Amino acid sequence: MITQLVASGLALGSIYALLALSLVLIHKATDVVNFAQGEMAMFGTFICFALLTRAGLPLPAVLLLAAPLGVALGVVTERATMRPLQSAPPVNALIATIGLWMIFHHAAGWIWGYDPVRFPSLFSPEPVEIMGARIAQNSLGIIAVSLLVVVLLYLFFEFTRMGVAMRAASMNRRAAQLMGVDVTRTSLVAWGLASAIGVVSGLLIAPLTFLDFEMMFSVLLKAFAGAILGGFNSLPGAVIGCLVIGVLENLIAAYVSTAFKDTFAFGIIILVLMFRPQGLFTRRIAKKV
Amino acid sequence: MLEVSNLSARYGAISALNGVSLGVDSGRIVSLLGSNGAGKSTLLGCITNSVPCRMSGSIRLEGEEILGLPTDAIISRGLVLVPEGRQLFAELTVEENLRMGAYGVDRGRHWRADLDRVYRLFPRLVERRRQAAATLSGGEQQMVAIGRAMMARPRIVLLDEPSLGLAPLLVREIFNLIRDINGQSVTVLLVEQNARQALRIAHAAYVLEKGHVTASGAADELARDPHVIEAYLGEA
Repeated sequence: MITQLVASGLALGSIYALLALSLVLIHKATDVVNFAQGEMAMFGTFICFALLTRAGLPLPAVLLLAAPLGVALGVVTERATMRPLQSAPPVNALIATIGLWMIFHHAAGWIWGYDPVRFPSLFSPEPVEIMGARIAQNSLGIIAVSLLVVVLLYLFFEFTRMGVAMRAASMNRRAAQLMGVDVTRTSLVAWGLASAIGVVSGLLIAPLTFLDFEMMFSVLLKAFAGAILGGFNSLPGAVIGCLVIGVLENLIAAYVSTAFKDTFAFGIIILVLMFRPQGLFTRRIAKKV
Repeated sequence: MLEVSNLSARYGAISALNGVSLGVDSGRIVSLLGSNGAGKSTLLGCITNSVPCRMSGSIRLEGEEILGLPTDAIISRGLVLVPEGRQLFAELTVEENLRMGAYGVDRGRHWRADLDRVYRLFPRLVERRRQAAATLSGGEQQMVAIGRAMMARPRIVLLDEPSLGLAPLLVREIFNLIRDINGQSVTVLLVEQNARQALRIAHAAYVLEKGHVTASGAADELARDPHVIEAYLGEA
């Protein structure tokens, strides 16, 4: 019982982790918290669904198209709404993302309707036996996809020219600019990557919860809780924080009450901000001047 | 080498530079003196197009107009700025910081040779190469900042307050290093509050006050100028 709960909690946590990675990516690159991240993921997932049902593309083709589609969505959004605010204070851009939240939210309802629809399962529902516990293939599949995303991101940031430039710019934007890094490009890349990862998270959650224009709200909330738990400035911290949240959510729902399934995330946000605002996993480097 | 003529710059309604003209000859160390808020950092920011101000006038690098070019285009023409306060990438290692210096010019070909050259210039950084930049002392951080600029193989370096916040012994060391760099046929434009040291190593100097150039000349002549002595050298 507990093994299943932990496994499906880790799967849920992986989905939150993907969205949290998107949030932290954009925040690190631009100092903006993108409140519309969840809605953009939902919107992208709806486009995938339209490709599947209305355009009649096969599921594997849609899955392959999801990431480039997400990139396009992010890039267009950044160009249209963030670029004009580039020299304004970050809080302007932050408020603009709340506007984007509304726009994507209602546009999705308007285009695709307000009723939840069933999204086809990506993995077989048959459980497999691992170390004596029966674990849903779905959970394993979700964890595997998320792991793949994390590994790809790691390779990008460690070994590509653009990735290294983005890390440098997130530490010191002016210095990066003086090295010849084009900081408008790094912002665009961050939005594209974040949006693509968001769409992947939407595709993973849609088969579990039904596809619905409201579906990303609680995911965004948990992603926030996890990212804050991890420190909001650390990509690995956000992943670990979200896995903790996913497992906790399952355990609380099973052993305490399902009523606290969503509210406990708020509790965690408040507790962390009160007692350890830098998060649990951010390491501090002693600084000498 | 570098020719600034009649350069004006403003941040919104606030004027920062008013018709500044100065020239830096190839192979020289030219130092720019002036008190806080005189516009020294703005001038360096304008030359590298890395500050958000509106500019008019002309900035020529080896005869070519560079005013308004994007920063990376200016770097690839051989002009690099070492900003005030070092501005290192705190969590990256010394070596990663240095590699970032080659970002604008290098496509992965020459950086190893350039790295060796920087380590020869600053042998102390070799033992620190795997350490995060934030854990270094102030003097070592300044070495990384200068070394990082050298990675772009500049023909001219602009240095903004390299001695700021350093112990007197280190200040001397940094100035000697600047002279070594100049000895490798790199032209230097040096902004400094420490006018005494700056004039010691410079060939020529300019004095900037409230956005205007108010004096200029050979460094040893300026060092004897009563106004400069009173305002910047502190004593007779």
